[in-house]
Amino acid sequence: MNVQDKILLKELQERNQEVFEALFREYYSGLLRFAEGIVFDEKVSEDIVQNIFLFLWERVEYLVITASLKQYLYQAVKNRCFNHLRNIKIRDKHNVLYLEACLNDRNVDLADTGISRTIEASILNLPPKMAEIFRLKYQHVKSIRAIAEELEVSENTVKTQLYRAKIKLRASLQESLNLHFVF
Amino acid sequence: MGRYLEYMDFSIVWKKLNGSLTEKEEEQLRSWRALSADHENYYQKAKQFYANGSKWPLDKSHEEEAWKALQKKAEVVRPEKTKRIQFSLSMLAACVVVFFVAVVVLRPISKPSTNEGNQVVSLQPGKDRAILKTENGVYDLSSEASKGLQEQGAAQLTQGNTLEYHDTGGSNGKETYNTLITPKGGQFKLILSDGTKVWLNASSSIIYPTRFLGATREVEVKGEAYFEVKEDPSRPFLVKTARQTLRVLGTVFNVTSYEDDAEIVTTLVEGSVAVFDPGVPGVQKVLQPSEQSVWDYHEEKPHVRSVDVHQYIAWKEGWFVFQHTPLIDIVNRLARWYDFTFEFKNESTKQIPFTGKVRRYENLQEVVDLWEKTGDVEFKLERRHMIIK
Repeated sequence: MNVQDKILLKELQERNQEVFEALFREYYSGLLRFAEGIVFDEKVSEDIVQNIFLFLWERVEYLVITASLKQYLYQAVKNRCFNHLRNIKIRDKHNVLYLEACLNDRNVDLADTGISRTIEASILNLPPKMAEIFRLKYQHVKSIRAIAEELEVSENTVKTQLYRAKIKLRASLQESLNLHFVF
Repeated sequence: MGRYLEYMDFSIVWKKLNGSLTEKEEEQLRSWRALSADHENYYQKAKQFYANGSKWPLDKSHEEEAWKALQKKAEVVRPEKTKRIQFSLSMLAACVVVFFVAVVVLRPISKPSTNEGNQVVSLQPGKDRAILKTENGVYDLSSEASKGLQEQGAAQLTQGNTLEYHDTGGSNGKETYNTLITPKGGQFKLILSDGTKVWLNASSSIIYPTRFLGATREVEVKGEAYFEVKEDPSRPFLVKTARQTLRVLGTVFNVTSYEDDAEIVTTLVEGSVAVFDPGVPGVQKVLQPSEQSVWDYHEEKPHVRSVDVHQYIAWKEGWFVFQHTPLIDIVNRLARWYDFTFEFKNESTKQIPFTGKVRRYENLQEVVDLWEKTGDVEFKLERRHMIIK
């Protein structure tokens, strides 16, 4: 855990509401989309993410957080989503749901959610320009506008490329799934 | 294992929506979708999602609403300096632990309440009752009507508080599943066909086969249960909960896995059990007697610690035992047994630790009176709702 997170955690434990609100505003939308990509249900994803924040606020004195706050939140949401799926007997042996959920959250930093290896191979198969945009977007967490400015292309180009990149990623993901099933 | 415990791998759903499936996979998906409305619903929602993308707008317009909703739920109050000091002082005071033992003879539960004068409704403790679901129907095991259970073949109700199965043998190789459910304020004892004994605490359920025919003996538990597993090295006994699975040979342990708790707690009394999550390969902990594993839903693996086992299994002997237990956890346990809902008016009260031992068959007022004497908390009961200050 880095120093900044340690300070934040300590402030939370002292019931600093402003810190709590800042944390909420930083991560809420992203976590919501991340959860949606796993449970596919608006209401369920909303409940899960709100409950995580509620849980954090109420139990923060008792939490043992070793990773970053961000990792903790994503892991917690992920676990609750998969608990929900257990009730309807869904498993995610090949991390497909997880990958999709990461792609759905536009703020996610792949390097930090722990699936970078899975996706790294897929990115290598993308055309260079697409791969570059993709990296900027998902690994360096840049806004579409910032990427457009950096690469001197229009925002629409960035969006289109990202969209195509997702389709390609899905295709290569499918390939690897098929391989896995055949052998 | 039977259809109750079968899982669908999401990659098959994904391939269906993004490509094609083999015939075998098509069939697998079809039967899974047909199995329950929840399955079909999930499939349809996944389909919509992959076709149309996220339902949440990219801007943060919904965030404001969510924050307000959360503030309401969390009763987030900006702490002022003075309040903060008070808060920590009261926590300190509470740490000077109050210890009491209420030894009262088990009284008939029909004893009239003496507290009507001060508006207190007396909530009675739970009792032996449960609901049994079989392929043939649903039986209320606390009523006389369930005497007809015999026709089920193997199942037999004894002493009004135990459901017992016998392996009647025969060559019919079909596993039939039953579900035993205790409501809030209920508990029941179950003896499985292999002789394994299970005590089911309030607001819990267990799914099990009427006979064990496979290479393993598998049951699924929600809530809290105390197990005395019949030793049989050739057929390991598996206990599945929301997340973790326990593998045991012959052993005595207690497992707590309520859906509204954030963790699964397994306490080993005798023998040994292996704790793992079939969804997370490579993580497994083996418990020794007097060890307890706590698996927080947010953690990748369980934490193991040594505990005084008594505290965790006392419920089976008719006691509530608390040792430095935060009030929120205590009230949660009481609420399941006395069947009431509750709210805390004050966040700091939730974490006040208490130590003590109380008979499980007292009426609730007598139990909370003891806590009120400490002066740290105040309980107010309105019908079946408790307000804690």
